[in-house]
Amino acid sequence: MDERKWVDRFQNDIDPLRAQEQQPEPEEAPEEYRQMLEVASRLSRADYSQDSRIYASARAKLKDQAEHRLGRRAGRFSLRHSLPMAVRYAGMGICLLGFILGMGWVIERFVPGVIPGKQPSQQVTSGPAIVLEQYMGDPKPIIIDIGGQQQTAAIGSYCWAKERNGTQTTQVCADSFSYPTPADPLVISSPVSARLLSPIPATPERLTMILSRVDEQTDLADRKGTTLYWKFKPGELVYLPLQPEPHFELALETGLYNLIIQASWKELGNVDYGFLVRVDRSLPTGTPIYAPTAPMPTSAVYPTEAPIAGVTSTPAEPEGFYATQQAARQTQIAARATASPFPTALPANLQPGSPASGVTKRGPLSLEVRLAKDEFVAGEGGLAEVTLHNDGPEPLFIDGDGAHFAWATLLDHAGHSPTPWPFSWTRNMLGMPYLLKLEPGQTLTETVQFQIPPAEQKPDSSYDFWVETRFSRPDPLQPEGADNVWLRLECGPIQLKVTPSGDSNQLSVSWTAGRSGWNLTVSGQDGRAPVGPVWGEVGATSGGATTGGPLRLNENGAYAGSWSEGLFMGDAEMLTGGWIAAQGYVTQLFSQTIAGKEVAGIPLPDMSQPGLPQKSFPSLEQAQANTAISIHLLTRLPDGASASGVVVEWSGTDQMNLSQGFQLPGSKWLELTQMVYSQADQYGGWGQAHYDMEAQAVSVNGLEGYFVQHAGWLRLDWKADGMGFELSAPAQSMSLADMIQLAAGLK
Amino acid sequence: MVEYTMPAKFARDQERAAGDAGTFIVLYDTYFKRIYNYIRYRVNDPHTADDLTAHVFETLLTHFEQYDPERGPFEPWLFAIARNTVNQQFRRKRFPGIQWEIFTNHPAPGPQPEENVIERETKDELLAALAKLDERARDLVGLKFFARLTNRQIADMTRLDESHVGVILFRAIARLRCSLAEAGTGRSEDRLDEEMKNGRA
Repeated sequence: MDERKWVDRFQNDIDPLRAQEQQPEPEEAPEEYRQMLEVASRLSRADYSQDSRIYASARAKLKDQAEHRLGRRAGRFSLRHSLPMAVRYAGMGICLLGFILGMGWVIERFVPGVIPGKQPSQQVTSGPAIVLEQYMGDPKPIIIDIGGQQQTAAIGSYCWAKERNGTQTTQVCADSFSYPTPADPLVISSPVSARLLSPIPATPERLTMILSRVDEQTDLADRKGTTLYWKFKPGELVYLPLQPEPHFELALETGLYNLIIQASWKELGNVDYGFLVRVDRSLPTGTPIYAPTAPMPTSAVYPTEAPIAGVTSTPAEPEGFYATQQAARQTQIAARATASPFPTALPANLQPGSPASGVTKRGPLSLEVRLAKDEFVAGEGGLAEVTLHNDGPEPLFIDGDGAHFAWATLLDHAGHSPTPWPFSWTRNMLGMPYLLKLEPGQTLTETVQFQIPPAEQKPDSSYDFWVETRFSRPDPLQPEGADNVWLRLECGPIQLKVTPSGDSNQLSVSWTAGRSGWNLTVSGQDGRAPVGPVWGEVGATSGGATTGGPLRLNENGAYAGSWSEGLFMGDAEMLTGGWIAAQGYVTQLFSQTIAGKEVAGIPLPDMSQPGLPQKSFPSLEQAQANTAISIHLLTRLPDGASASGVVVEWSGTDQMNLSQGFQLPGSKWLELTQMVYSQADQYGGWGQAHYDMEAQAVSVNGLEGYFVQHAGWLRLDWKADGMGFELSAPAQSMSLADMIQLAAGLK
Repeated sequence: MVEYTMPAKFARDQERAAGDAGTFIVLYDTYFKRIYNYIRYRVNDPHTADDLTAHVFETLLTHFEQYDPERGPFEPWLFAIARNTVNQQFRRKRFPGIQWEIFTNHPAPGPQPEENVIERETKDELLAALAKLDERARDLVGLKFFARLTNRQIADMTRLDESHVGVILFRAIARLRCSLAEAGTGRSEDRLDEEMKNGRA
């Protein structure tokens, strides 16, 4: 088929297809051409919009915001702010994510406000008033100065203020489908100090650098004149100090690097600037350096545990966000960390009984957890009072979402967390990451909810309860912001004993809902309100609107509330429901459907939240007979270990996890998880250790591996034979060296 | 040629250089499906597509009053926002959901609800074929068939010559045809390349 002859005709023929009109009947066209029209027709008909879960809910919220914004010039729509976090939690198996996505602002009305006094740490540092209008027009390049050599940036994508007319600014956006950089790299030695020189004297409100090691053979997309265009490649994201001309340190292995600086100024816009540097000599420094290609063993900088003899850290290119975020930080932080490392956490002081408590301390930061008791019935919910106190001379930055700074974890005998139950709007609708600045002498408190699995989940007879918080020190260059080297303080394990529930543990719930509001009464079997606090969540959906959130703690067992005014005034079917928990009682679900002319549109979340599909096999042989992949074996096992079955879990079309359990002496547990993933998925195949903020790079048979001790469990990740593996065992049962030996015997 | 024009109500409102909430919702209703389909095609993950679609309309709302019809038609402006949004997300490492290549190499899939299998296979087959295109061709196919822009609009947006856009699209569809037919005929893309070099396709 002569391409020149058919290209123009093709354009004419596919337009009716795109309008989904009748397909043309090309006369005297070759079969290949007809098939191409078929493909174009198929593309034109492709419709994925039924996959979307947000159409109606986002529409309602946008309408509301548009009325505010376009009508009264007030308020700013915040749906987006609630979304990335929800996506971040998609991996937790939240099957109703699509439902959650559209709920942002409604839930915000429901949820108590953020803790007073909390401010995001990465605030813009406002300098003297600068007239920025002179910088409108086209964005001007910035310059990087590295050791006295300078390079002018290539400008990539941008949205930039073109001009201002009265109060209105016109912004022009341009997009580059690749990263442009200058063609001639700046040749440098490493480590070296770098500085950005900007024509704009104002402090940017955001300044990040994406650092990617590139290969001209594989990563170069195009070359035009003195500009190279690089394919998009994941890199390390580094937050640079918010200064007009920030300094930072680069410590890189030899090689070619793209430095993509993303800067935004409030009144001007945002620009991607591209630089190209070639490191021809990387000097040993004798001190730990944060280097994107040389992972820094966490323990060497921030010792969290004693060095383990016989274990070597091997250079490897880390990929995981948490495992590598340190690697992308600046030398100053490393130097500070080396000179005065943040102390190791002390063992927790635990008190069982009623009440039960735990206190632990890491340097100046103390974490205290209090529970009313440590015995629960299956399906019972619990509350933990958490206190965090900074007794040191400098502020610390606490990770969270504005309302929460502590996370509770239950772990069973195999180190697994129970399947989340029931659905929680509050838990699943965490807000954006929002750092809390904990000043010297300041204390934070929070009540954390947790839930013992119900009888249907066949709970263990006991669970280890942990509470943890994550923190970061002030950035040495920008002390009003965090240095982003995240550390953990965890308190536990408080052992919670679980007994079967009986009739006396059942709540009696009366739930009556209408289109304007609802009433809820809860009592024990004696007809009286449960003693102690009662807590829970309620929600409703109808006609494209949905809402949900927590009940306020109450001790009389009677609640009443209103939905947001006008939210459910249509005549569509309305689904309502929720759950309620009280001490000593099984958490109770309830629901009510109000009939309507149309279906509700958006379903209420499935309160039962089934886990990932899985199947158990009593033996390895049976698992192998029912599994297409080759199951790997541990050729060496700890003394006294006995195989205890295989569980295969499917986490989507592209990944399967196969876990072999081993019972160890002393009721301990060893587990090998084999992770099958798409080879094209660069994030696939890694377990928990790789993504842990305090992961330590280790070598497993010469292969890249990651190790972490978290919540009393050791976890070791590595990849071999195109699959991922994770070994996990309680910290008391073996050492990292033992675990690496086990891993080395994999076949 | 097929022309896609902005809703009349919007055009009228733009004459007085100010939108209102009703206009905005008309736009939302008009463009939601196309924006979602375009983003869904590009990012290949429904949750991410939801997120980014919401982001696009939020951006539209934020910049709604800045749109000036005299500077150009509305649709390319809107889809430039969508395209920028997608491209920005591609640059963010913390969005591992955006993985086109995942469709090119499936391991043995786990069980799925029976009723979804056939529909999903059909979609996946098309997505898998699209995933084999190079980035530029994928971009242009998305703008042409999912965003439904004209070649001229695409050319303006991508800074390519209009005829170049046409050629890239023609070749992309030829490749797609080959990929989709591959299973049945065993015909390889290498062979297609060879035939193209020889002036046959």
